Amino acid sequence: MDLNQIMEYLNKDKLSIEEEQWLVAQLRTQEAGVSRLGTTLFPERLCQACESLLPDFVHLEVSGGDAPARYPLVAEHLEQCANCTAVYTDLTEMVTLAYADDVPVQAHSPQLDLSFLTKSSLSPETAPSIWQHLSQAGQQVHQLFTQIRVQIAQEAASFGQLPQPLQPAWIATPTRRDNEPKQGQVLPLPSDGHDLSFHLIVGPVAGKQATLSIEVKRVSANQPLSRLRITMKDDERHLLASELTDDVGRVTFPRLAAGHYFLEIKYQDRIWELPMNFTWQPE
Amino acid sequence: MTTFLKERQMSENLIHQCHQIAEHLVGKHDWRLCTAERLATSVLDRIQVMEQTGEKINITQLTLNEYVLRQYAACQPQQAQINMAEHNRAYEELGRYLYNMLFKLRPDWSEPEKEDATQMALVQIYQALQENKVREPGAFWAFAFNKLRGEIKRLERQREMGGQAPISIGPTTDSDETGMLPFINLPDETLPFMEQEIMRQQLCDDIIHQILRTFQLHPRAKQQLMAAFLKYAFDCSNAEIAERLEIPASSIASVIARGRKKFQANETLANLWEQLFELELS
Repeated sequence: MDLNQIMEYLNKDKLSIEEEQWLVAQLRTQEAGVSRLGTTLFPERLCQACESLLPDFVHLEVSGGDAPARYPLVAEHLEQCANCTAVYTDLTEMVTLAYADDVPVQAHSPQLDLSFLTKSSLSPETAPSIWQHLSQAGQQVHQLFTQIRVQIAQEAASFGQLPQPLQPAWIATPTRRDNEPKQGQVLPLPSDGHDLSFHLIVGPVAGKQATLSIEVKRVSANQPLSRLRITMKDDERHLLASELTDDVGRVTFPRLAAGHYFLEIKYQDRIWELPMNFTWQPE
Repeated sequence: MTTFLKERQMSENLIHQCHQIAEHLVGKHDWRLCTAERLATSVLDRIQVMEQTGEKINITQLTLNEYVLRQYAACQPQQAQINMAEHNRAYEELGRYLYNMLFKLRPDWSEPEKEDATQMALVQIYQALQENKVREPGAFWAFAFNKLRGEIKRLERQREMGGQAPISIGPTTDSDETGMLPFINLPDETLPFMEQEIMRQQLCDDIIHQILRTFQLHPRAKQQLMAAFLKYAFDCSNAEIAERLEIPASSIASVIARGRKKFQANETLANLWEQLFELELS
């Protein structure tokens, strides 16, 4: 590292592209210094970062895990910072009380205002429709407005880029292999004005093939819908598999290789059709 | 044969115990996001896995944690699109739980004070979920408690400053919806190592560019910025900095302090460093 050269460039009013690239490359080698500079300039930000991790730290510790081993820098920071230690102590007390079920139940409920929930939440009534209404051979078909992309990777499948308002969330899939929960994704799909909602779940991969689960729920009763016919078809709409939902409203299609599919959910006299595209994308 | 019967007996005891605990907790707290039976089944699934790995089992804790996962799932913004009643219910239950917690933590507080802290904590939890700030769903309660703690401290500061007692707010939105919340189980948002390393490098690059930008933004304070930069990033001594920048040794400390203040005024830099700290600490 040439400190004189660095100083010379920093002193310049305008740098050429080459000079800036050289300077950035030099400073990149000084990562420890960059981190130290931040710690000195913004110690309160270090505390904020620590505080955002403290719930995970405390939860892990109270659950019997080795939190200092998992978050060694948080543990180190706690040794030096009285403010963060105070947060840690309070949080540990609260989580310990909760997990010992030592929280008293009051006879009366608090008067809380939950109207903030409705202000920005997208309710099914106000949500833009994600379904196109078609008629196929006299059958009312509600087709999803977009193709659902699924990327199959070595360990797990995940949803590809999806347009708004479709928003998948990470979960650990119910299927376990080697006693380890596998990470997967769930994509909630509200139906349009009907008393149904669907959850698509992708997760474990074996031999370049993914597993897809679908859960169907009756919204009003908040209950799973069992014995509902769900069909998987190939890109030419040839039948691949057809199953009835089980007691928890779920059907699972294992071993789906890369390709185009149509998932059909039949309810009363209507069909909800989801075009899907599975692609193999090893990391 | 005897071993088989013994194992079966133990297993039946365990099943019975799980159901009993789930029923007790669901009944005690009036939890309705899932049935006691469903909760017990999920706990038994987890115990099955834990028994194989030899982990220590605390059924009450496991049952509570299973319910936390359901509460977290129902509080998610996406849940509002699927089942608003359940979404409401989850917040109402969480609010009630935080409120009850305050009776343990601050028994001397008035009810309006407890309600105020709970209300503000709930709004903050809602906002954090909108911004996807809960890192570990299993630690959702710990996250919620941290928000509640923040509100407790805020109100206590307000008290110390002689602020007025908080006022109780609005009617409860209640829902009698009962039922089951599905499948969501044990998410782990931990970034894979490679992804974390790439993010760290990107943040470092952004910080470096922002440092250079700070130099460009203050053309007449370059000496001050340089002094602070040499001091903190390169760990140079005051004497060395004075010599390099040809500044009298007597004024070097104040030059460094001015440079430090200019860096500290760069909010973008502060935010970038906070992100880097968070990544490094995790």
